[in-house]
Amino acid sequence: MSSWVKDLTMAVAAITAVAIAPMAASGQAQGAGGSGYTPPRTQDGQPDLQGIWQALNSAEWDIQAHAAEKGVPAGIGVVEGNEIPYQPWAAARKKENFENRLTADPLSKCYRPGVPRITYLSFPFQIFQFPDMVAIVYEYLHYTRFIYMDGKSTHPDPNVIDFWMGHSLGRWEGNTLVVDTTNFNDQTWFDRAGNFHSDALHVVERFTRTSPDVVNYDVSIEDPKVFTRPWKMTMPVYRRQEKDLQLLEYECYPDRYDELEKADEEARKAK
Amino acid sequence: MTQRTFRSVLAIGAFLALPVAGQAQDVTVVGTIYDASGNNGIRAATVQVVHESSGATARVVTDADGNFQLPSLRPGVYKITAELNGFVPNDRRLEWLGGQKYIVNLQLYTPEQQARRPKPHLSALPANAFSPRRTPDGQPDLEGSWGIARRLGGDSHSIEEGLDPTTAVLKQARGAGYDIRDHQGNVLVDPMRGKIPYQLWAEAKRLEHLANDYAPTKWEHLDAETKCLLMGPTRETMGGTRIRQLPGYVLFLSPGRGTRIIPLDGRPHLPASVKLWNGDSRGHWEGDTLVIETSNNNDKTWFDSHGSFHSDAMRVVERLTLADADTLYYEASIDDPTVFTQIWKMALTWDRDRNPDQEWEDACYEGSERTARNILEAGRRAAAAGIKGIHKHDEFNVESSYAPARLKDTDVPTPSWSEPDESSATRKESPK
Repeated sequence: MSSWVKDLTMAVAAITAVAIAPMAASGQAQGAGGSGYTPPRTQDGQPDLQGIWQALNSAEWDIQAHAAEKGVPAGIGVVEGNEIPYQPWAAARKKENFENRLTADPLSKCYRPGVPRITYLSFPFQIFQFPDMVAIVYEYLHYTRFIYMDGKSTHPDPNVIDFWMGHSLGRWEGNTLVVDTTNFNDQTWFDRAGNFHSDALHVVERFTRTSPDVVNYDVSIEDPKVFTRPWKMTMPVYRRQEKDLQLLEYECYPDRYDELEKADEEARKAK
Repeated sequence: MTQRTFRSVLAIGAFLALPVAGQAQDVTVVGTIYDASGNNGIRAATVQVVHESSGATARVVTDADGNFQLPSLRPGVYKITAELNGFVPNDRRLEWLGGQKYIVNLQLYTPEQQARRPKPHLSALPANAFSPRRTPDGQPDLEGSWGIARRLGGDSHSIEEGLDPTTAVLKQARGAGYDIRDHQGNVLVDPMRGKIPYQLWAEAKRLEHLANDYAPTKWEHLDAETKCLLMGPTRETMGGTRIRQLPGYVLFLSPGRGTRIIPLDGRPHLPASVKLWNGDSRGHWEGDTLVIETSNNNDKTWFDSHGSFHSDAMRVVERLTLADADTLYYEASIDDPTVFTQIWKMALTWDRDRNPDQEWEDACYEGSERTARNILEAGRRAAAAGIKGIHKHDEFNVESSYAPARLKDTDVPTPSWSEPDESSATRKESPK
């Protein structure tokens, strides 16, 4: 870890320990159904998480606490304890990613952002619930996650197939939707700051409605190839309030093809 | 003219109108009746045409090569039927305009061969009404996984001409003896001549697109499907989809291809300045028919890969009705007076997949850049060598479809009708 990252991490950890710890504790209490809020039910009796939601923080730039820079708002971070327990080699790789982030970030090539990053991009997503499946439709890159809730499905063999967005199975624990996602590739990042994982990533997300318009979003991250221990993120996501709001489209690819055309033209001229 | 050249001329396409001099308003129809292999003409088959409005009938018998010719027909809508003892009659309903020459090739199948063939799409909703189940909130229940894999035609490569002749799908179909002569894949039901009714300027622009498809030199020349862009409401939907219904919504769900969220609550369309690749859809029920009106389309999508463009003034009305418990009839009307001479309509028939696999991420874009670049480099090399052409279908000369180098890079899945329950060849084994 570079000295400044280390300094920043320690400084922010010291400052925010007091602020974050109670939030995390309350998040867990809510996850266990202790928030006192009982969500309405869907027509088939599930806790109702449906609607258009969006995170409101700066985790898409850096999931850890960070100061502002040009075009990037400062943030208090969403990582519990603010420390990401990288193995030494991985801390060096993260630093390298950070230095090259403008071009090396998979999002700069319009690749799918992975999980959980897609949740805290500044784009809305809409949750739909069916008896056997929860579908999350994301405005970003027209992606839809199918979360199988049938209790019978299993993850495919990770040695046979992996995905940018993983393979998701879901279940209910009280009023909390628990989503277990594996079968990731090693191509996505957690944020623009270069936080990364390997294809051994295992993500467990917990969606708990704590009021009519807030879902608490807890994420636990395991990846024994990259981290020394599991770690967690937590953040609220908020219901978008606009009347007649609907998901629109963010395609990204057309701009990428324009860039490729320009690069080809320049290569031709250089010949 | 050698037999081969003659056949090549014949094979330009069943719906291609060739203007002829003289005999101002007469229609000429020529063609060949083939066996199931598509390689051999059938002699002594009867070809009958019936003029729908007058009942006038003409009949000819094919020659030793299976060829026939019907000169001096009056214009109008016809049913053309090929028949021979021992074979199942094969017919098609077509509209022929005066002063034109049409080519119609049909194949004849024995009853055993016919039983193994894919079924044609319905061109209209059957008259006997089917009463669907209701969802818990009282909507007609259209839920399920729907596809066209067991049908003949409807391929989004060309809604007028069907499958790309260079693909392994068609090559394999040729080997298996299926529908390579009369596989026109045409799902246009109005106008009946099966051609998108472009205004003259638009027809010229479309030819430009077909030339760019033959030898693409710019990224913008590549088809949206190659580039994994959203392809517009009808092209995203025509091959079938996974329908789910909730109070207030119908959803066409797809992990990577652009889920369509269709609100049923009567809310107004988006402001006109919001243009979307898949448009802005609003649904309502007319009896047991789901009607979807889509506006706010951008002008960047095509109906298929044949350069079939529209403007951002396009409005689409799709109608979905259960024909029976396992058959869903889909039609789409396209209204865009800036580009077309009339509202036109396509119709498809979706079959229920009773045992669908899990839908998995396709990572289309993430894996597509290299394939797209190969196609582009081939086109650029061809253009640099002065090779020009337009993309067209000719079963007798598939090499004419694209500029030469392109043909080395045709990588497509196995034909869907050999394994009708497999909706994707890229899927590995599915967990159950």
